[in-house]
Amino acid sequence: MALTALAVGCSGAPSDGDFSGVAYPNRRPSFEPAGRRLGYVANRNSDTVSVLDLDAMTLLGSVPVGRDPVDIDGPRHVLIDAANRLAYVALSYPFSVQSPHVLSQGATQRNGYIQALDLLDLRVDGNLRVDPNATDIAFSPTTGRLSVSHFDLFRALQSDSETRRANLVLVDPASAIVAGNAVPRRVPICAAPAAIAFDGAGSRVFVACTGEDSLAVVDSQTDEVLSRVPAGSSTVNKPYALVADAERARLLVSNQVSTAVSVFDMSDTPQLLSTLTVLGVPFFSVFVTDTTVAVPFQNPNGAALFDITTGAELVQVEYTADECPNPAEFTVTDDDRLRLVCEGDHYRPGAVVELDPSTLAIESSVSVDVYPERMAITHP
Amino acid sequence: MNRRPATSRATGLCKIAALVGCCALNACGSDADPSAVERGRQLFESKALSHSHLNDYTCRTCHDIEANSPPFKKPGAALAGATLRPLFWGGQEPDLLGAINACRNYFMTDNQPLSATDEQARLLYAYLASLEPGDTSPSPFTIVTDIEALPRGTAGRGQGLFVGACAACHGRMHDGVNRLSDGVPVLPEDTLAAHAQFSARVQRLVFTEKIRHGLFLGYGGVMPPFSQELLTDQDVSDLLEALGVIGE
Repeated sequence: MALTALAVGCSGAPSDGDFSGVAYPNRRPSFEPAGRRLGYVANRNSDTVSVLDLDAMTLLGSVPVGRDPVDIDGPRHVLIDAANRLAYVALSYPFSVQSPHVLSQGATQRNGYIQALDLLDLRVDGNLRVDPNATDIAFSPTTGRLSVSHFDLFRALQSDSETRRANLVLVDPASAIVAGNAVPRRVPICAAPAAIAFDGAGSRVFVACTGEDSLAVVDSQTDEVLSRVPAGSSTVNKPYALVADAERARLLVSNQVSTAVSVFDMSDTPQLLSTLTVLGVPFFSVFVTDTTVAVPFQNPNGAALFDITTGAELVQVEYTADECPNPAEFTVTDDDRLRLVCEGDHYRPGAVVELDPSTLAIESSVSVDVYPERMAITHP
Repeated sequence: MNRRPATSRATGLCKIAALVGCCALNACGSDADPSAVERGRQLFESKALSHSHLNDYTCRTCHDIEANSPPFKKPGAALAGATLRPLFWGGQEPDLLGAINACRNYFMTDNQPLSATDEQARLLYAYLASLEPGDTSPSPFTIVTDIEALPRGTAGRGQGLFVGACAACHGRMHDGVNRLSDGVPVLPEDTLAAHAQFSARVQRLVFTEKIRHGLFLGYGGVMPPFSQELLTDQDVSDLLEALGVIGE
């Protein structure tokens, strides 16, 4: 053994001599599932992803993400690619700096990024540059395809209707971000596209087109825009949030002006099935059962439970600023537990709360970082 | 952790290799082949950590080994203990190598990140590890994001702050003697000339912004930001007074 060491040491390569340790040991916290349901929450104004043990409703840790060590990267939404043990997060770079020099020199928008993170410790495995104002991401486990929307209000102010349209970016497969050879395809979709979702086959992307008051459908294989239909039954709807049910058969489109959730089928030309009108501005809803839908709303802060077969409102509650400021997204885990992400006031920490699925009363709460919006879940 | 002092490691090898091996090993890696720690130290003080011909910086430009080395106020954290810290860049970077690569990218204009197995990365780590234990707590690094007009300061105190915080890169005030390179602006003249289109009031804001943001938050260039912990608002006021950038 000693002679072998000598041979290596004298091979002509410089010897490390007084250092034989592991350089840069991994000091990150590790988030082993260990049979638990874990929640991953991106915090937009603190540039972190918080990981929660949803079974115990405890915070396991918060890890910095992003590329810029000083500016706000604005992570918007985490998605899980369980097959590749990856998480994807969209970095939005909100334009928030109003410094004299920056403005006088002609401020420009920053491109957004998608980061691929190792699911275990959230270390960065890859980056992909996309367009400014990267907002929502959708991932199809069926095809491994990733889609990115860009809520680009600068572009939406252009005078020409075509140039107002921001791109839907398609990455196929998403795991190519790790290999560094991902080639994003761009589909001009609509003015200020917001939330997006894949169908079950991963071949269609449904887009809430805020700036065009429509719901758009894109063929993610041919990049063809198949249809654009009104986002609701009102004269002005203003869709923002959009969620598919577990079977990927129905969509819940939340409209901010009409304060209503439109229930659509997920055909190539979506048909409006029913409309649920709520007290405030609705955000990301969820099917609690096959026939009941929970809707979070803001201004005022609250939530409602609907029977979508009748359109009847079963429960409506309002939350105080201490209980759940700015409710943003409902989720249901496979054990039928209902949770709600509360954004907070965007300057102080937000929270994830657990609710009674029947009464929507808050049962427990876990504080996360600043401005959480949505939560991705891994099941055991 | 698999790091031990060089002496104990050498002793262990000698026990294994006995006389012949130990002597041969020493001969093999001696004068012509300095130790990893020494080569890491040399790298720490060299521009060679960046492959960009535009780079003017070494690690030592912005970092001391131990904190509190007055009168100097370097913008980066003291590095003894860095290998044991859980967070860097004010909590925004959880990996030491990520923090180093951020410095190389933003200040040393080399956007090709080092991997943990790259020789330069290993040597730098060897040197930093030799500085343990040092201060293992994350260094506070609060960036002032919103730039506001500051009250007038005291020029005499600002002169001393300029020597401690600015002169290492910008050289002597007004003529730039001993500045890092010809590309570094002479203060305040070059910066005022570059912003001659602005009013005196806005020029003062620009100076404040540059000190606080460095290249970040959309400003550009290669200057590091000076955190709230390193320079108080009063310090910045005094610096501006010494520079004659009084906003009137």
